[in-house]
Amino acid sequence: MSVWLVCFAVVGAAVYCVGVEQAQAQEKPLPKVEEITKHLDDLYRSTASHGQMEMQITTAHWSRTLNMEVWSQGEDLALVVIRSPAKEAGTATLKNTDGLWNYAPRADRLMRIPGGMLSDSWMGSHFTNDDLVRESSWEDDYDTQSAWAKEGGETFILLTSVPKPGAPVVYGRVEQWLSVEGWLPVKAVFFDTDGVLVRTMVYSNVVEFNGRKIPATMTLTPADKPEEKTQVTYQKMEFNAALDASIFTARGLRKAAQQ
Amino acid sequence: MFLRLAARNLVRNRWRSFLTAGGVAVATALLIWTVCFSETFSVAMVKGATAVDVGQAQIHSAAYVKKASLYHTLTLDEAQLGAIRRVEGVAGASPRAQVYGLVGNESRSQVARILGIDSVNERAITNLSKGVVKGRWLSDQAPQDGAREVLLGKDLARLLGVGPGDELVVFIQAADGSLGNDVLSVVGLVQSGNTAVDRATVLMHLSDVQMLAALEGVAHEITLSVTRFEEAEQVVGAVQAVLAKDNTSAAPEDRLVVRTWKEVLPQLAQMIETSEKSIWIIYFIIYLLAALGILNTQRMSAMERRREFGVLLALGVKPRSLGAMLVTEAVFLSMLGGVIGAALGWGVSAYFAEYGLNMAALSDSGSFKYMGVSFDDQFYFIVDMGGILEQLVWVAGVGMLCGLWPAWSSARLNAVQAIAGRT
Repeated sequence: MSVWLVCFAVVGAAVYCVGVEQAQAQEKPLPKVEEITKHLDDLYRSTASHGQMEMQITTAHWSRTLNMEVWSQGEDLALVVIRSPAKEAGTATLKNTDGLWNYAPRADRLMRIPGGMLSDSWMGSHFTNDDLVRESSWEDDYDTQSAWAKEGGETFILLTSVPKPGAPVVYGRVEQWLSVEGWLPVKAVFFDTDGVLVRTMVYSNVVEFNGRKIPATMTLTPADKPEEKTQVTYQKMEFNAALDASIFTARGLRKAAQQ
Repeated sequence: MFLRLAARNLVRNRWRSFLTAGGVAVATALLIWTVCFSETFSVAMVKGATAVDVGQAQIHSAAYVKKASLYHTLTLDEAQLGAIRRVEGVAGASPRAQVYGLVGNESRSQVARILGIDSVNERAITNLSKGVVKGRWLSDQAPQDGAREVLLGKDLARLLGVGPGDELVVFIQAADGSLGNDVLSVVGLVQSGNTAVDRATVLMHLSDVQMLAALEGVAHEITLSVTRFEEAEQVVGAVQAVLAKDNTSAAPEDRLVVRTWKEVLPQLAQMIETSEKSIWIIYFIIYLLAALGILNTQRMSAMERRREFGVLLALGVKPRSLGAMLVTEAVFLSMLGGVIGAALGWGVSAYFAEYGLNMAALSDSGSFKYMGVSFDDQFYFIVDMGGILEQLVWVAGVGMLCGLWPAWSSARLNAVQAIAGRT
């Protein structure tokens, strides 16, 4: 009797385990949406970061490469200073709790950028001011839903985000494809409020900086000008850097810009 | 004999004839005034719309005509500009570069249309220089050192909270992809009455804009003014002919295209056309009133004279002649009124042609604006003699039409019944 009981228990457990495994393969439980959006918000951000990046802009009329130095701290502080080409060296964009500014090195003056221009082009690239200084947050400004998605035989987490009412966002919907492992963005597709494709961002070249793996290259293609693109590559990145918060002030900007 | 009969009939009831002719006279005078006013209004509107911004004609590259873009420029050639200026009817020609950029300071900024102009020649093509309400116009030569000069639309200056003597920063996305930036010094404020200019335009020296926007030696347009508005089309044809030689050797997208303000601003041209057409409704109403007056008079007088007509018919007067007599009466009456009215209307219009009608009095703000276009405060009427004569012909025609019905019914009278008063 005890033998039967044991046999029964073993077979039952085995059947149970196989069933669970099958279910997991088909329908692995999705990670919590809040966790992913928080992860995305923090991916290129940390308590403080400092890095160098290269921006290659290709348009129908010209193409050029900018080298920039970037600093950020938390959600509210960011500074981008162009280092080359020489003509624009020192041109900078600053975001702090008071607002957004451009710095004109020739004039040695700051100019406030109206909030309405967050979605405007940054320095002639296809990136917007918002892309650069990340005013909007996936967690705070969007309602996001997640799902599994397959493309080219690979499985991704697909996030569909719709802006919350009143959020400072121009898109009507954003679809992001994330790797299942590490939740790294692979592709983001932006639609306007009419559901028309506006631009596509492709993430590639995963590099480890300071023990954190991020896609170091982002390529942005506007939907209405498929022959144009802007590619940004992080060349150096130091997360959790020791930064003095005074760099995110007018004086700090001038000092950084005139280096 | 019929003429005498007709005249006698009109004289017999002097008051009625006088009042009817008076009504026609007032209607005609009103019409002529309206004709002169609307003509003046259209010309003033074209003047107001073209004088501050687009001029009366513009030259662009074919590519720019297709799509206004920073990159679709034309090469400036002094010899060519000189040739254009020598074309008969051209009052002035001035090159401009137009870019968009951000102007502002540490506390505010605005996106603005930055118009690079030739400060000397611009004065010959638009009234912008006369619209300086504070400060001064750009100096004849761009200063070699120090801040670059800038003139702001008055409303834009208010939005930015700056005035003459203040500093501004400008960022321009240049044609080579670079980001032009520099400090500007506000030298003056411009009020043109044109909303697009006053709210969103910044005027700078062409050479400064060329430098900041990487547009050395090129511009986007050459703006022309003509000596006579009405001849803009002919002048455009003549200028196009002057450019023909250079155009044959140029690439298709670089060929220069000359267009009148009507082609540059089709919406405005259409708006003016609509407003000219809508005046016909007023004409119609005035004519209708005059016609009803004449019709009423003629019908009454024909009714009263039934017996007389019966006698005339019985005496052997042909019905057709009787009808002709009545039509003659109506035409005579309306012509009498028409001539008096034309004289009156011409007199009033001539007065306004000489002394002007103060349009500013019609508006609260002290300056007259309509559909975003500002006008001269004084309207000096254009008195068009052809238009006056045309109105007289119309009045005569209306008089004849109104005489037809009473004439027709009188001519069909049965003599016996009419004499007996039984109709």
